[in-house]
Amino acid sequence: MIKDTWRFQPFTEEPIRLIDEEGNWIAEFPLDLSEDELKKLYRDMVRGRLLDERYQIILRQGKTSFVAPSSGHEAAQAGMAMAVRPGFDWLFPYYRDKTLLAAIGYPVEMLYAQMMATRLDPNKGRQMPEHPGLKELNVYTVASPIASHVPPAVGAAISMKIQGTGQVVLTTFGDGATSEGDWHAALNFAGAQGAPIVFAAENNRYAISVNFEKQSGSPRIADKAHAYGFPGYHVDGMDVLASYYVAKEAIERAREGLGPSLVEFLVYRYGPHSSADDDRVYRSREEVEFWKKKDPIPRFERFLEKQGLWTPEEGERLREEIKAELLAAEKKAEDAGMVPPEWMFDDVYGTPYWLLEEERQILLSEL
Amino acid sequence: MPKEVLLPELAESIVEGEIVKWLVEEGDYVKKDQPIVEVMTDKVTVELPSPFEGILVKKLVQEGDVVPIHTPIALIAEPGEEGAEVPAPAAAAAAAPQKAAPLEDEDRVLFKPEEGKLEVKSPFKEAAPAGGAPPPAPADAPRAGTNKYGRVLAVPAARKLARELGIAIEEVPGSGPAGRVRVEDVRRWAESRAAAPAGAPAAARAPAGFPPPVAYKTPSGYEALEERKPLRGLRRVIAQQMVASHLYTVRTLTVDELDATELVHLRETLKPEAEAAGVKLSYLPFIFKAVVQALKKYPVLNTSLDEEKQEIVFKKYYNLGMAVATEAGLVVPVIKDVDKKTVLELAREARELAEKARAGKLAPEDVTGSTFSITNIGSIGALFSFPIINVPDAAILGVHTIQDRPVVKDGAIVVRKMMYLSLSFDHRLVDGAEAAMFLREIIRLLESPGRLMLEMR
Amino acid sequence: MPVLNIVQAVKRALDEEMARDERVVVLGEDVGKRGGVFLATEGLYPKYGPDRVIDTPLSEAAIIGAAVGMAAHGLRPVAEIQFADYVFPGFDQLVSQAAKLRYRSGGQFSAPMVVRMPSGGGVKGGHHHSQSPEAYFAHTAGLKVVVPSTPTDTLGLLKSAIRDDDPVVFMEPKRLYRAIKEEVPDEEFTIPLGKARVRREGKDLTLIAYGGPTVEALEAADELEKAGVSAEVVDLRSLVPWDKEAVLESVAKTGRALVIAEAPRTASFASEVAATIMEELLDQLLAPVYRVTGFDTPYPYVPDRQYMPTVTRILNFAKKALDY
Repeated sequence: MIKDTWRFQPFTEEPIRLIDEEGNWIAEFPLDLSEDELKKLYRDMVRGRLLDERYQIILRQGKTSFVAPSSGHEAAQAGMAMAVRPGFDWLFPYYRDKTLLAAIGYPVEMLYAQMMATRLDPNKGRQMPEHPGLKELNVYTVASPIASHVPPAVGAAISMKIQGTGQVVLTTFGDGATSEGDWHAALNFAGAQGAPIVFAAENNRYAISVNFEKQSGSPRIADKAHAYGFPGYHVDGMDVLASYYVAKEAIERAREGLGPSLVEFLVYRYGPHSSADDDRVYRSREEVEFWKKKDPIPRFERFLEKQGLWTPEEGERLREEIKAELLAAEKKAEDAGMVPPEWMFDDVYGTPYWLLEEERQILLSEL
Repeated sequence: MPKEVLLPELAESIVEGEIVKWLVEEGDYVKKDQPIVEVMTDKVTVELPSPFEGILVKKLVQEGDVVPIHTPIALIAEPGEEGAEVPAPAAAAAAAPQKAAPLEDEDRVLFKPEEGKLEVKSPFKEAAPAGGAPPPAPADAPRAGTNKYGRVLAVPAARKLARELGIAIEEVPGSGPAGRVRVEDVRRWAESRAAAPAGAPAAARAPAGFPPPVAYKTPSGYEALEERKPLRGLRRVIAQQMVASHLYTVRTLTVDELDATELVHLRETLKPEAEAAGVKLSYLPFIFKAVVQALKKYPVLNTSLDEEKQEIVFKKYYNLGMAVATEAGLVVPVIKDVDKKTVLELAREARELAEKARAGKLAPEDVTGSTFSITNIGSIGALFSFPIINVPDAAILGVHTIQDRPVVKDGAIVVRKMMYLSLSFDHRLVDGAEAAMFLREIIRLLESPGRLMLEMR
Repeated sequence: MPVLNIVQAVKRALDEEMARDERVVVLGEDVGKRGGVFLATEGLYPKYGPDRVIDTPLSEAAIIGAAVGMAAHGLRPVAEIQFADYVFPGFDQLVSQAAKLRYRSGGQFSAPMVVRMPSGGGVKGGHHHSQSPEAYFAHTAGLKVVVPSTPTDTLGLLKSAIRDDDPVVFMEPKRLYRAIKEEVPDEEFTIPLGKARVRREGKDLTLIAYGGPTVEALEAADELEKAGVSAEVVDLRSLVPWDKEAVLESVAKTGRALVIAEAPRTASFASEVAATIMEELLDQLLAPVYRVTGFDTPYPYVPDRQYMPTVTRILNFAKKALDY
């Protein structure tokens, strides 16, 4: 898709927004998404929200031990999902991206299986919950150290450039990640190489409890791209269409060899950082209430309704349908059974090692 | 005491709910699980079941209140309790959502340790003996096991013990896997052979409660002026035997003097004849004979104490240990059956043994089996000494230098050739009187060697 | 046969592998136009171009991290860290990303990459140009660690490391870069990882060494011979995986061993070897297994040569072992 002109300006003070909070299309260009595409965006957001809620339930049921709530991030993630070519482009996500991954086709039962460490997890239950990865869809397995995945993301993009594959890397992270040394090292290298990569910050203003004002002296994450020589876009991440269109533009620019972009999605995290966080000690109820009114899902419903593509009954029906899908996936994941302890010694290396065989015997004698 | 009904976590990341409608009235009897109130969360309304059976004595919240989870919303009393005082509601929940119970610390911290313990599967069988693995019969492994290069398989402590005892490790039958030699194996082997020199215990240990030895510390500034030599080999064995003797015998000294003038004269006379027979004659063979006579008269000086059986062993054989100074240290070769040998034979044997000792060629049988010992410091020049008993003998005689000294004889001062004799004896076995008389007997026989001729067998 | 030193061996290994497999790329500071500060990559840039010999920004995190991503995507990167002392900014990329990628992804992704670094002292470099940090990497499951000591071994092992499907930390003893020259086979060859080499046979004492101190170990063996002691020298070559079998075989024969390595003694790889020998050969040992190592200090400018195991130090420990 070659364009003569690019739609969006980088480094704007105000976030880029295409639909207002009442659901009106306020962009300067006509909407060119099909009904199916619009419905997919909606469905992906609803699925992300419901999956997040189901994760909370299985947490309370003791079937998983950790959840990173993503309610409030749905629009940014659903928009990004539609902007990439699933299975062709590569994703280097972080631990809060369940909406994004489900939207690009990561089977939900496999997401559940990773949460519950059952045999259906393609990652074999090796890591704590919220650390998925899937080779078939080029989703690089999440690692806990914040921003540590960003230099590898750049490496993959450089490889794509060298080999001329036409692929693009999309890597996501939170606002806290933009302070890590690895993050800066990666963006710097990407800029020097002109690598085909989009750096997507899901800025929900809090790194656990630390407000963005304490995280950085910059008013916006997007502004940091100046330092690395490529554009930074400041986007209303509660607007799924703005999220999609800007992400799409950044990805296509990269695909055309125009190099990296940094896209900052302003979102809000309705839940606490994770399952064991009491967010009342660091933010007020009023703030949370304020952002609840900006919930991306009702906002998009208002838009869809104005387009004649949604009714409350439709919405209710869709929620029930998705909930049923999720419950079925949950059961499938659980029924696969827990990963056995003996699997611990595989995949350390690609070839057998006598030391690990000795150690395996030590464990087996205990079981 | 009426029980509180709390608004539960309604499971869907919900932090609060709105009381829509009470389904029961105060004073109503409710069964367990009976729906008592409708609560709305987001868009979903649920009926809350009562967790208890009893009388709903108080509604703590009203319809329309928005209530955080875990807030008490009702009180239910057991039948018969409803007249009891109703405690004030814990929170006026509707007005101040902020004041709801904060999360427990437990809930605010991630990565809590897993609860419960892992099953323990012990490899130990019950009622195992305290000493560890039972030692099998050494007969199964006639010698120590070796690796394919011929190296003996032995734990380091066993090697060390074998070195200390002067035992060849390759001869020790090993009780461990593949014939591995353990410490107990070396001990057992040592005991069975009684091969330790003079039968001294391998490691003399002080009785319990004994203060530890003084630790040596180089005075500062003198480090460069010290040279160290490891305590090894014969020196180490001697050290241990000395400690054992010192600790386990009650060593007592009695001293007497011998007028050796006639003995000296006798020796001078007999020397050429002995040399003609190829024997260098010293005083020792005569002393040996005198000692044996004295031992026959005072047999208690020729005993040993069997500590284990607590029996005094009276011996009817006379093997004399003869202390020899060698470069490596003092050794005590033994002349067997002294009562059956002539003076000449004894002279010859003594020489031979001394030479063997100095050449380091003594066999174990050469240094074991003594019943009494003699040490001759006189050859070096000491006046008298307090010798250490050659365990397990009961006594040891110290023979010293012969000196011209003025003595009183028949009221006049004369110059005689005098020699001090020290007898160290184990007071557990020998009393002072016997020891003194024993010495006197030796002196009686030697000061007039003719007597020896008359009385000896 | 051609005669090569270690740097030339590195260069030849890289050239052969890049010619053989177009997925092999080299990246690092100054590796391209300059050919590397030790000239280990000289000639590669003119031959293979900027897409395969990449001059990177000054950022070890970017170098190593990008190598992980390249490897996951299908290339076979050989990253150069200019001095082992500078690996630490990229340490997290090595231990959190590279080492654990195969494991955490259940085998879906892997990082077939090599991180080469000149290591060790003896070049008047002091604290930050002399370290031997192999212990950190040997301690990290998922990494392989190789430390050659000769041109032949360097050549064969680097080729194997590049072909290996796991991340390999390849530490080159820099003071030996130009000091050792030897004949190297003309035809291509590889040496498998995980195999030690007996450099000298003997029967009284085993000297186990790797990297730079292998040279001192061989000199010490010569001195020992004059004193009537026959020493066997085993060059480990690989630390992860390491050739336990070869080491145990040798120590079973001699009954005495020294483990000689330049890195500081505490928590060193030498400790790992010594502990393993103790566990498996206790009843065949005639003396303790002594570790002869560098000291537990930062690497000083003065003294340089006396920090690392000297021949004298090896002989002193050998005597202790023989007299035990």
